[in-house]
Amino acid sequence: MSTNAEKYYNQIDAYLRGALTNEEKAVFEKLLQENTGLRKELSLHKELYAQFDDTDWVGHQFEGKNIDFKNAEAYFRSEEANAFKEVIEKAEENYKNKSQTRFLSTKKIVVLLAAASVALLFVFTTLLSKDTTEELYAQYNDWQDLPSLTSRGNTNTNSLSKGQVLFEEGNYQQANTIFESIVTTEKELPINVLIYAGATALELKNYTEAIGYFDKIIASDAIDHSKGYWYKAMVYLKQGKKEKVIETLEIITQLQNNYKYKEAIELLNKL
Amino acid sequence: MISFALNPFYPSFIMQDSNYYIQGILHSDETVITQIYKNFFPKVLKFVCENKGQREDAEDVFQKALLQISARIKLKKLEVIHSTFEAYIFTACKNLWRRELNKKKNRVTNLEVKELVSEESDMAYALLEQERWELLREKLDELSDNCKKILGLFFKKVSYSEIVKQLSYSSEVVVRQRVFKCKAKLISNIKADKRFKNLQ
Repeated sequence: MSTNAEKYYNQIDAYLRGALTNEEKAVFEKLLQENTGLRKELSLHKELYAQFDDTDWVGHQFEGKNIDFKNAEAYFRSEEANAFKEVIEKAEENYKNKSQTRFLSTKKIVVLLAAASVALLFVFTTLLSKDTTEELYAQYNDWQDLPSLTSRGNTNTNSLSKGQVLFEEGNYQQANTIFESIVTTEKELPINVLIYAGATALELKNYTEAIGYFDKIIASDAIDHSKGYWYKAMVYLKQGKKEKVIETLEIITQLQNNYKYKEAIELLNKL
Repeated sequence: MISFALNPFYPSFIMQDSNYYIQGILHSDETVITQIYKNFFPKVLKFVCENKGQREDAEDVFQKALLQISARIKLKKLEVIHSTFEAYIFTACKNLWRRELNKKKNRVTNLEVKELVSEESDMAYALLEQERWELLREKLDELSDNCKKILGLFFKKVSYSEIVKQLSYSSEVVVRQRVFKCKAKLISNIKADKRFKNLQ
């Protein structure tokens, strides 16, 4: 090992651990641009740090002349690999079919009951009315059931409760201003705040904004992030984008633990 | 009537040493691959769904992992897996999913502007990155217990002063020296490995 490389280790660590001043950082980054060897050392260090961080992955730029890389690429393009892919797909299909049959035999009663109630619901709803998406939206949005924001130990409690009151009074414009400012200033946002922010935007027909908030919920690692899908479905429902509604609801119906799992099935049947 | 050995839904304790699966992949054996799905997919599905993913993501990752393993068997003559096959395929899936999530993250924050590559090239990247990951893991495992402990904390970004406390060292200076030595040793071991040269 060259002592030359070792000389940089402390700086690389300081850089990765955020221990450099802004000036030092700028100098180091300039050095990085000029020095390929240093970039490689940094990359290796990043990979070592990533070994201990379950959420991180460090990509690597392999050299153009790397034979193993070329061979791998060639293999993935080969007919052999494509044939194998087909076998994989068939196997996946076998697996899915089989696990479904097993599900039927062990949980037959549950399934039958569920099927019966869905069928009943279907008959019931189709007999009663041909709902438009607008009507369905009115029926399924649950703004009146949103959890209260005041109980949270948040520094923004005052503006939160104010926003909630405005929202409940139907003063969406002012509520929206409040929630928007909270969302843009706070880093760690509770899911409920995002729901309110999205709901106000939706009521104001700012659909893209609403979807943005709900996507944030989906992308979060909160236990109840599946709520995002439900509210997103509500946006599409209000817009009358039937296909999008169906697509989103189908995500919900994949896992029983998902928020509004039953309602999603019900609504899918009505569409 | 299908024999037990060929029945993909026969209980898994009968067969299933890793060589059995490797041979199955090598020969593109649909029955064996179906068994692989049955035995190992549920765990991967659970992992992906608990980490911001959906069923389709899990399916995608699982397919890619199988393809990746096939490449390693065919290109590198991989015959023996040192862990169980389950641990092997699960790690492959876990890493592919971490990689996917980081790609998304970087796309959003624009941290890394990487040119768009074809799916095949991306698979090649994933494969070699996985091999680098394994090499690093192996070299970390080979360190002395003392180095393992101190670097384990260090790479988790635990502060020097906290390491002093946790491992009862006499001072920060001692910890810094220790970290430096262990890390230099680790990196020189990595670079000295002949596989590393091909993973640049």
